[in-house]
Amino acid sequence: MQPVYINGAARIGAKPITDISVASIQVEEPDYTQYIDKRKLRRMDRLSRFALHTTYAALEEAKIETIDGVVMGIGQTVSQTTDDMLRKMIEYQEGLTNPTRFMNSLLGTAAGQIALRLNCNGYSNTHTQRGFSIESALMDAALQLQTKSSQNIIVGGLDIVGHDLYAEMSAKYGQLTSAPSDKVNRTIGEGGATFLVSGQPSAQTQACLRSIFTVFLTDTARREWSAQELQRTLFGETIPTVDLIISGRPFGNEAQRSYDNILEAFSQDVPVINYKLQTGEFPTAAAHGLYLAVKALSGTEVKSRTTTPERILVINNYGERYLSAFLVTQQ
Amino acid sequence: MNYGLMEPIYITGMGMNCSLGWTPEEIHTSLIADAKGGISNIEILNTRHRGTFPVGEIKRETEDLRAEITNQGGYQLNRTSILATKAVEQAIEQARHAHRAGGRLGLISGTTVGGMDVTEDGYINHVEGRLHNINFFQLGGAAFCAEYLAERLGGVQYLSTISTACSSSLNAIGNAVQLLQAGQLDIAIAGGADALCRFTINGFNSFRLLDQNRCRPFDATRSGINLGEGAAYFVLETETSLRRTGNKPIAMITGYGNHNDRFHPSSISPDGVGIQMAMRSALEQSKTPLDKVDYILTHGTATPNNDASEGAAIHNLFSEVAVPDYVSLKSSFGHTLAASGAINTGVGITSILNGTKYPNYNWTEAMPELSSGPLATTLEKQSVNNVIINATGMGGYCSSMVLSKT
Repeated sequence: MQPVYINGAARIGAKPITDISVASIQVEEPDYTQYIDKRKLRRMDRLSRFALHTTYAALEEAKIETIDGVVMGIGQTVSQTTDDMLRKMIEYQEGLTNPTRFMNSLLGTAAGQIALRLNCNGYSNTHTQRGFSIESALMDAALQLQTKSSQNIIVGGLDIVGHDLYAEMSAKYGQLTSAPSDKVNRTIGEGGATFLVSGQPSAQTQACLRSIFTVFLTDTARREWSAQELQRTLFGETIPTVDLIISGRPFGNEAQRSYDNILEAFSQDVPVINYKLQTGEFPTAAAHGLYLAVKALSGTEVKSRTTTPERILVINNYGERYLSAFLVTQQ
Repeated sequence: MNYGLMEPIYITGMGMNCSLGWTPEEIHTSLIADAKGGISNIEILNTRHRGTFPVGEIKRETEDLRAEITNQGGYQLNRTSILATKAVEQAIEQARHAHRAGGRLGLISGTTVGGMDVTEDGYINHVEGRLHNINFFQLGGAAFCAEYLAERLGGVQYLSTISTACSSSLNAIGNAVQLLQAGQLDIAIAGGADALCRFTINGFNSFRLLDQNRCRPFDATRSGINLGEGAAYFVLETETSLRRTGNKPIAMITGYGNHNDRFHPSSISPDGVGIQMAMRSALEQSKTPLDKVDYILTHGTATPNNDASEGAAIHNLFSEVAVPDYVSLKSSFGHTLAASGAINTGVGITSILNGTKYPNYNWTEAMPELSSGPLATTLEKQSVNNVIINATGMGGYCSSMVLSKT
């Protein structure tokens, strides 16, 4: 895969979870007026707010003002924005509603807002494959950089809870993804994590995303999948070693075997940081795992037993079906 | 993306459906013999707008269609997923099961509403505090269709759903093309689907973008959209994969352009900057000169804004050469939203294979701002070598693809 240099990274997330019996946590909303005009904010949905705020913050870090493209990953599609639209549709018995509500319910709106505000007429796209949304968005960005490496592209992962909808649905319906599973303990979270990426390093480069692994664990794939396959995809012919693992292992009983398999394939001496306590559980949580890896590699956040790590493996799952990993290194 | 040349990607299988038919052949025949036949009053969808807005509706109840799908994996499939499954099955049948020939297989699907029909029903109970009998949180999501297809097909090693409003499926095909080009995949199944639902009818009605009469794309009197439904999926292969599968390509994708119009959240610029850039990029990548473009299947939604903008973009791009025959098929089977780019791709292929240029039905009065109108009659026995497919979507998304004869 084309190396993806991360030259800026910003995140909106919740406070770390101290009580895992809490059903859901919402982000600490930043002061959006730092970057977005007050009048524009009023009509803007939360996904777009997350997207724009983190985009501007990432651009500040990267010390650039214009971009060549934007690719967003949004994990959960039945969420606050569709909820608003559906409730009004039922309440008004399909009478005329506010068009902004419909526009905000479209998943492509957030990336569209970024292109509009940053006056970018380059590439734009939005992926929404639950637990692969940020992974596909990053791969998409890598494809653009492979074609022209000097581009600067915004790529991010977004999810919102709102009205406790996730938690309520999760509690009522038991499962979040297509694999049948027992009810599991989750603290549903939300957040936005956005990266300014380029195919070329700059003075602001904080880390480099080397490779992405995804496996959709259908019943057959679950039997056939191996951690060696993950290592081959991520490391190619090189020796599969890392000096830190940032792990999205959930608190409940789901997907535990996947994590066990992967960790067994790496040396037991490698320190492991579990990050779901810092994010909660949602489809694009891997974007926050990646953010933590970037900050660890650039030495600004996350202290581990090693001084400053050079190679980090980020692992994430979403439900039983979605499993993904990133290899992130120093420049 | 928009730079440099690319090796062609071969299409070896296709499947599609819409209100005009269940197969590419049926749709081809209907477009020639009964171009108006796909638009009618609402008879299936349960909405208060029955009798108000004509649509391109598939006249089969969801339960009936569902009964035709074997191996539903224990799910109660939503309408979008049913239409998608039927199209995918056709495509892989034609490609002689290329997806089982080895090589790395990806599935990229485009949708706007996914299983919104299921979610709408579920929400009526949900807002009343009642437990619904179907897990609409799972089955109604946009990602479900691709999840189900991946489970059904087996062996899918890369999975994504694209949601860029009405350009979703064209961007799904574009994403697949780029993954194949980059060597990330050997074979891809790509396309998109959207079923009619209350959510989109009411959403577009809130913008007052729906026409209460038959829509009139590129006509001076046009006043809005007739929504539709359908699905189209394709098996895409690299040249290396062709050698392994032995499949005969039916057409090639030689260029893809993706640009943002960055004009307004819900409308496009008067001069169609984004779609013009997308067409230009796709043609540059395809290395197809302007005068070798034979046919343009436009997005052509029949809103005053879209057709003026896209029409201006086409006339500006082709200002130095004769404007190619261009049409919108939305007056024949409606605006199938996320599926529209993929269905236009399927129609582009049947155009190339049959040498037919389908007409822009229901066009009578030229738009004063355009120097030429759309092709209004069927042309047969044509040499159709290069076709442009356009799709745009709210959020400024503008995409264009060049299909070429093999």
